[in-house]
Amino acid sequence: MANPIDDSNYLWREETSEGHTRIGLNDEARNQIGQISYASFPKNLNEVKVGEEFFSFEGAKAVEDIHSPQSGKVARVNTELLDHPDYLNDADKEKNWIIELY
Amino acid sequence: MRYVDLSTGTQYMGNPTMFESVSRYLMTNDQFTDTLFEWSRPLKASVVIGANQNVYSELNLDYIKQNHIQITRRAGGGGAVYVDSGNLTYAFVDTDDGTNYMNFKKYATPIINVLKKLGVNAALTGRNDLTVDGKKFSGMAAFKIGNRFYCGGTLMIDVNLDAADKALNPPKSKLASKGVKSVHSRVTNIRPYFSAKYQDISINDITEIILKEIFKTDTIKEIPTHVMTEIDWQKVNDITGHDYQDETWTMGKRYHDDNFHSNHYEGVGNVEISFSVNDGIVSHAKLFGDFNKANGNLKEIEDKIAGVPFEKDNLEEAFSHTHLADNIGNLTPAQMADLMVNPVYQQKQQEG
Repeated sequence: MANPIDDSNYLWREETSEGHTRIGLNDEARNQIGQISYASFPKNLNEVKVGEEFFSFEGAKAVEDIHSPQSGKVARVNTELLDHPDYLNDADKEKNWIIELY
Repeated sequence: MRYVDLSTGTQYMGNPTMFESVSRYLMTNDQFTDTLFEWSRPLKASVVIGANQNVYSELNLDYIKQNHIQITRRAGGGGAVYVDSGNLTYAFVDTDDGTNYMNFKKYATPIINVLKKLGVNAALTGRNDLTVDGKKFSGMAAFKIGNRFYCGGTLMIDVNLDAADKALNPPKSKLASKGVKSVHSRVTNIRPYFSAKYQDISINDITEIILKEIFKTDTIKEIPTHVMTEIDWQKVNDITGHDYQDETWTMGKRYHDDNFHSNHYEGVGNVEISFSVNDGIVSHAKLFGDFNKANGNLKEIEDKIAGVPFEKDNLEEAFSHTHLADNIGNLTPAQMADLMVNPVYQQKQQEG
């Protein structure tokens, strides 16, 4: 059986004051992908397992599905990204975060 | 102690929140440091709603419009009330000495004494309701600015109860099944309880008896009185203009969410949430209600619910970080999650 897809090189992870793990896009990913024009979450996303897709987006250089580096229930997602996919190009973690797990 | 005579302000008193503004003025202006008593009667019928209430779910807007009833929103929480010229509103403004703030009994006692003279066997029930025969005819409220505070209430004497019932019940009455509507049926005017001799007493004559009781005198002229001056009224009007006359503040924004859920919680009040869900994620949430938390921050809750999966467990986790006790009242995260996901709480809102 294949190992789960590991996207952790493209992601940052931080614990929030609420004890959630917040995950966002890192500089390495931004450098490789270029200007991001579209973002979406899978439907009915309330729990993810390692290697499962939790986010996808279209960049100038690639269309990417992002797979979770860890398992957990979904605390919340950054719905701002649906209207402002360009936030993913911003180095500000308050803007480029994608999901929080608990 | 002084009586503050508001009779010079007839032109200003058309606004039902003017009495609250006068009270704020008497609490904050440096020339007043003693105990004050004031009373007023609304000139016109109006509905006063709480700071966090949704006019579209609380009120019968068609009836209110047809009958030229004003709508205003108070700065504090609590529920919607209907007032008209059959109400007598009174208040004490005083300085906190460590024993008198929130001491409803102290300030209700002279009123109860007068009502007993008129034949009404009135009692202070619970913390701040005046009742007769188990029916409420007065709610009292208190609020504080610095070390000065307000403590007062409204007496229902000749209120149009039918109009009150219609104005405060939206079409397809959403609360009929939840026992909240019965609150209206437990209120009463006090005139029917007056003894025969006082059956036809005017509200002005009642206020004279109240003044004599409070100031322990038989002669109105002996009562130390501050008659509100034009300068006083200008300053009151400034307070009103800033705080209360904004149409968007009164009516609130009309949210076109897909869902509107409402439930009554014992000891808290009605809690309502308007929200939308896209692809299983809460995309918008806005809270309403008649709960009364002076420093409650509903936006803190709303911001933490947006982006959360629309599943009971996930919502419960989200609500556990929203300081419900401080912002709404004694509710559990599980109750709030259930309010959103359980379709039995779905209500219809009138168009507005």
